[in-house]
Amino acid sequence: MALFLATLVICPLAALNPWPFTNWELFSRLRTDQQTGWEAVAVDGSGHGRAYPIASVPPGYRDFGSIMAGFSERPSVEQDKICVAWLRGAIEQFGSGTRLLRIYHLKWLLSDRQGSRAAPPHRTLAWICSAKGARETG
Amino acid sequence: MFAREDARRLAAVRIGLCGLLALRLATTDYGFVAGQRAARVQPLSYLNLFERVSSPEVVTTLQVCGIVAALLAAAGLALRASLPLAVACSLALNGMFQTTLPVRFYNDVVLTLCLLVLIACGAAASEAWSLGEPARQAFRRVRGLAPKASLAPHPTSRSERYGWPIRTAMIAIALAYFFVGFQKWRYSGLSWVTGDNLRWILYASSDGQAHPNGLALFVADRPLLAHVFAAGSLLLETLFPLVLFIPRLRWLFIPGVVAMHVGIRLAIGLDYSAQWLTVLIVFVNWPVVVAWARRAVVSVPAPRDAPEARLLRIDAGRELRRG
Repeated sequence: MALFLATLVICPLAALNPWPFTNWELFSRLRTDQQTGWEAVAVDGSGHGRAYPIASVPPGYRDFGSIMAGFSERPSVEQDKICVAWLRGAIEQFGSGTRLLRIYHLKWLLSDRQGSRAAPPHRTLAWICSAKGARETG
Repeated sequence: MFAREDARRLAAVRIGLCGLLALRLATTDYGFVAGQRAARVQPLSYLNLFERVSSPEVVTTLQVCGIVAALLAAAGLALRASLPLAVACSLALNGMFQTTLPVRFYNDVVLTLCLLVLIACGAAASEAWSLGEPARQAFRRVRGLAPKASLAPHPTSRSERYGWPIRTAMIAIALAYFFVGFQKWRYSGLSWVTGDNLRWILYASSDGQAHPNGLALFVADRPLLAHVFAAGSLLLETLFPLVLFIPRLRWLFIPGVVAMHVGIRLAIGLDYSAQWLTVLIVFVNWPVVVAWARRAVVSVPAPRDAPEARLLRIDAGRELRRG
């Protein structure tokens, strides 16, 4: 039990996360007014785009935000692989007319309110996913 | 830590924690984790085993096995086998669950830690309020054998072996709350209270929900109220270990943390029910509550013992003697 209690103390102090022990860092870092995020838009042959919520598409691409945060540092082979997989998912969802995915970087301020919601984010096109792979636009 | 405790109090903790584990295993949707890819593998952990999560059949088997084992453990049956099996199933399922999430999953942590303490105390937790002994006697009767004298201690017996698991679980819970507060001081300092941090958390949470959250927006739109809630929760977490030394403070801190978790559920949508239920199970002295409830039930006069009924019985007795 001494070892158990010692582990409970050491994990937070050393920032370790060996489940079920944890470092208890929930909500410990300050949040800021400025928010960032990512949005994927599936585009068909005529250039018509539709929001493609990768974050909620099964199976397996739940961590879209954190993948995109480090996407530019990944090797290009890996970027292409991820992009092709996402495009395949979009084709499954919207049909074979889907040609590419546009991935936008979003920025908005929480303090900038429109009624009960934040004002629409500022969008910047960051990546394009096509059958050939990933292409950076920013 | 090694003070004596009533065997029934430890038994109540066993029933509560194992019942809660069975409930969590039955109500958590583990189905969606099957086939998911790991989002972010935690370091230094058995979670690395679940980089590619198992099939739906494995998930369902673990879930059913865990629920049955947890219910057996709650009943005090084969505790040395049923409890470790239930916890193992829970660790595997929550491990899969965690690997598919981009953020840390905290809801079941305190429950799991307290269950590990319960495993360490062996059979002591099943020596009162257990179906083990009645089941053994019934089994002997079915086989036509004479009932055997029970070897179990008297249910109200007190011992150190019933005390240390409860106090260790209390320390684990107190450390959990303390470190949640400590990390806020460490990484954010007083700005966690004096800045607009809580307002941004509430706005971001409300914006992320399908419909705007009225409670979150009510607090976030009022900076002073947000500072008060931030200060209250930080104080509650940092000072929680005081309940170990000043038991009277439990009347303040336990309802305080329950209210905080319920508030978080309503405003942010994060479910910490397993955590605050664990706090209640471990910190409430359940044998005292049961005795109080029994006294409350007994003190209500039954119809035949009501004054009118007694007078009627006296009159009836007189009539009989006259006759």
